[in-house]
Formats: sequence, structure tokens, C-alpha cells
Amino acid sequence: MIAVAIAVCGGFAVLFALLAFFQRTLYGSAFCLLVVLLQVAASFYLMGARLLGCIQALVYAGAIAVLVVMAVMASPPRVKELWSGGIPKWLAWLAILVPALELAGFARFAGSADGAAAALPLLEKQMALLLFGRWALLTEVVGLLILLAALSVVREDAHG
Amino acid sequence: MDSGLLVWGVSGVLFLVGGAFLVLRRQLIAMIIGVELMINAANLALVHAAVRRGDAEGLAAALLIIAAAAAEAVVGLWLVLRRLRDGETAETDSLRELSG
Repeated sequence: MIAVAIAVCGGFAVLFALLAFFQRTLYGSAFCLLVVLLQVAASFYLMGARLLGCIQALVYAGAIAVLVVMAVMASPPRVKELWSGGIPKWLAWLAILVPALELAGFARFAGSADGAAAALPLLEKQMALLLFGRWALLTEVVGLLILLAALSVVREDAHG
Repeated sequence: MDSGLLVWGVSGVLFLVGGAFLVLRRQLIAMIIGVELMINAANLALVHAAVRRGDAEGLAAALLIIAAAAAEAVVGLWLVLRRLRDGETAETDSLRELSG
């Protein structure tokens, strides 16, 4: 049953990736990207990597998709006219209906995805031990990278 | 149903679509969207393999990849915005400073 659920998520991820490619406006592409990222997060969760699924939803679907939309919105008007133009209504409805139908389907047929993930807390514990133990230096480096990325943007903005 | 084949197929198609974004679309933001798709495709395959083998290192690597990709997206989008604010276009054709 979990394999079917992963197949559904994967199918919708591919569908929305293709829709993103064929959208004329960047708003449409960013909107489809958001759905793809959410489907990937759901796939992570269904595979049993619950923590990664939550992080994927928070970081990618929550932050990166918003960043892309903000970048389009913050563009000068002459460029924005080329990029924006709204999202087709059918696409917006499809993006709302797909997660709703998935949730309803999973709740009806699979009961809960927790059943699949139940065997993996040990793996996530090992991951945490690795990140803050043997790989602590690498974790720090990646954290520093994010800090530098944020600082470079802020610093440049302060200089105008 | 073998979920392994399925996930690899999905990640392969996502990677191809991301590559198509990168090669065929001319707007810089669309190219960033393509890169994000490709990173997600690779991460999907990595997480699946890690879970299947019970390998915590794969999951940890996927987490670090998500963080590094977020930093990359921030810098990439900021560079595009800066270019737009300087009065340039955000099309790849206009990037000719390094072409000599």
C-alpha cells in the first residue's frame, strides 16, 4: 500500500514538473515547483524518513518557493510584465485538489503513513548522532555556508 | 510493486525535466528552478537508497544537501535580483561579460 502511495506522489511530482516546464509565466512555474517539492516531501515521509520530509516541506516548499515568488515580484515592472500574468485557474485548482485527494486517499486506504515509518526512528537517531558527532565539522561548514549566503545578501543590500 | 524501480524512474524523469529547464529556458530564475528540480531528484534517489539499506549516512548527506541547496538558491536569486536592479535583463543572452 505504501508503494502505491509513493507511486501516486511520484506520478503527481512528474506531472507538475512537466506542467512547470510548459508554463509561460514564471509564476506558473514557481507554483508547479511548489507542488513538486511538496510531493517529494510526502515521498520522503512515506519512505520512512519523517524528519527529512518535514525539513523538505519547511525549507524547500516553505522558503525556497516563497523566495522564487518574491524574486519575481521584486523584479522591475518592465521585466515583471514579461514574467507574471497569473496562474491558470485550472492549474490552481489542480494544485489544491491533488494534495487534498492524496490526504483523503491515504487516510482512507493506508490509515496512516506512520505505519511505514515506525521502523525507522533508530535510523533517524543514528543520523542525528552522525551529524552532531563524526560529521560535526561538516555540519558546521554547511551552517556557516548558509550564514555567509545570508550575510552576503544583507551586506550588499546595506551598501545599496 | 517494487518501489525502488518506481522511485528511480521518478527521480530520473524529474532530473531530465530539471535539465530541460536548464538547457531550454532562457530566464535565469527558470534555470534556478531547474537546478532545484535536479537537486530534488538526486535527493529522492539518495533518501530511497539510504532508507532501503538502513544507512544513516545517506540520510545525513541528504539533510546537508538540502541545507546547501537552500544557500545556493538564496545566492542565485539574489544575483538575479541584483542584475535586474542594475537595469539589466535576466535572460541568459545578456550575460556576455566573460565571453571576451
